[in-house]
Amino acid sequence: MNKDQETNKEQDIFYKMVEKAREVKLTEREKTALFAHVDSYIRRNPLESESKVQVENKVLRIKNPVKSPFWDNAASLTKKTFEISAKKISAIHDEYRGLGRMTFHNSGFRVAAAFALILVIGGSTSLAAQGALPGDFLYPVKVGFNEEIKSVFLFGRSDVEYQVERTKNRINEVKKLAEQNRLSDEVSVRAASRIDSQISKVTKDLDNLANKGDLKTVYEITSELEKALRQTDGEITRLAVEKNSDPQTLSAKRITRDLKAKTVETRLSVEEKIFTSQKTDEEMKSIAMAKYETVKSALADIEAASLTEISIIEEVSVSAILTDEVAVGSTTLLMADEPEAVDIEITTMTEKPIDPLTQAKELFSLGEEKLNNGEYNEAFKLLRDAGAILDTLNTETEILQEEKERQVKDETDAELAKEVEKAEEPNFLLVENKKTAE
Amino acid sequence: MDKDFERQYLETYKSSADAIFRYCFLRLGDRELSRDIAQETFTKAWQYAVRGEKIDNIRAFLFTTARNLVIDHYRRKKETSLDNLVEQGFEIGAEDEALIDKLDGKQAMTFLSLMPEKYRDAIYLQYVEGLSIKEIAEVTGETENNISVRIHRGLQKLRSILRSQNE
Repeated sequence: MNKDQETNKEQDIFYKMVEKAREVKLTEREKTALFAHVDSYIRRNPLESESKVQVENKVLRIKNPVKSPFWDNAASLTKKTFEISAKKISAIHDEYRGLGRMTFHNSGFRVAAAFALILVIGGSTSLAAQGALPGDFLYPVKVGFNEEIKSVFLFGRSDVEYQVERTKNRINEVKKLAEQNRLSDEVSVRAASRIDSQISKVTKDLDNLANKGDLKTVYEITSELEKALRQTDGEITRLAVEKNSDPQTLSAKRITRDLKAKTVETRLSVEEKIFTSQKTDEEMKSIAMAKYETVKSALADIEAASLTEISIIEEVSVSAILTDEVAVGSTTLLMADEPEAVDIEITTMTEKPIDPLTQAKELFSLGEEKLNNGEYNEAFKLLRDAGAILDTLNTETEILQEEKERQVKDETDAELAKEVEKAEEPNFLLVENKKTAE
Repeated sequence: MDKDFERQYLETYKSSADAIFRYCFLRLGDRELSRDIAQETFTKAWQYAVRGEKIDNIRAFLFTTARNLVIDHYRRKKETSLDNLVEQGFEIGAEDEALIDKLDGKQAMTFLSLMPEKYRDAIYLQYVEGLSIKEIAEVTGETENNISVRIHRGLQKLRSILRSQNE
């Protein structure tokens, strides 16, 4: 072989080496799971500072939250109620001093009696406030008094669960406002800010529980919240379809979307802790069961959504078709965070592309099988991966939906602009008629 | 405008995730660690954007970030020797060139990682990831002239490795 031939051969080998090196890639599942992390991170750390909120084409600056004018009235009403109660208690105390001395001198009983009287005398106000929505006169009574009083008597898991209830209340209020066409930009921004601070409370409480080692409770509560959010999100989506994606329903959608992202981030963080901590079999079983229910619910929602939004789901499936080859027979899949492989049977033909939803369903079925066999760790990993794919599917659906919404808005704006232009055009017919008349 | 950037960033992720992962894998030889570093690369780059810093070339910036993270978490793979590759049945410069086709991606990456560090990045980023000399200079913090020289010398080194196997 002469020198030139040798050089060509070496070059050939080198370029083949380069080609082979390019074959090293993330698997689709790894890419999807990574995407879910990055996407959640971006949503939690938005580009703009919190002092500026962009609502469609308008920028609202909220450096100092505007105090509700309604709060002062409600607060003074509450204070008055308490003063009346205190006077009455004192009067009762004086009257019964001789008779029920032992009972009324018991401070615990006095406190309880005070609360009872407040609830009785202020009860009508408190009751009326229950159905209040943001912007209503009694809304601060509902949030600042009714709900706060309840939380005083709750501790530990019950307290966290109650804070989660309050979060669900906030998001349901947004939905009701959108239904009633009362979700203006300003109300929307305040509602979002309120939800933000509520979810921070929940996250803080969950962190405290997690630090005490109660990952099982944390995971169950997080899963429950995610499930509830998904349900409300579905209801808002249906409302948006009914109302032809009007600005208020889109606003409500955005709020739920952001909250979902934060909840997913919390859940992912708990899942990381689950992998690195020691758990009993019972704890792992509960965690795997909670994950199973969440993924099952997510799958059901996606399938239900596909009946009303078939075109969106189809677009997502087409754009995300996997091209990785899967060997026929048994193979080994690397799980997201574990170095050991899990052997599973795959019978899919090598050339057939697998859409993400089908892949998620396959993983879900495998996870269900492992759960039934008592292999809780493996079940959790499989279900987690299924969940990661569904998260991405939801994100891509939402991105497509945003694009469609923007398209609808642009078309609406264009039509409006035409109408305005038309209205401003001189009425030539009128001018002609006038001329003729003259 | 910020939603556009977010969308652009996620699109960049989709198009660059494999490349960043591959680069980390070249340097670390560990799949799981490479995945972690790749993930951290994207979140760190976003943090930079959130701080209001300007990113002129997102791709080059991602490689720079990955490189810096790898330097922090550097781990030398014990099996980075040609003898180990030969033991696995890979004979460089063999008469039957079809043997090259049996080489898998991981082995190819191992072979490329055999090059001295100062040549490896330059060769890899240009030939495998298709970065320009200018971009490679930005990633490595070297001048464009130095990068050109390293590519030239790296190829010579590679040639000598291949020839030594033929002898």
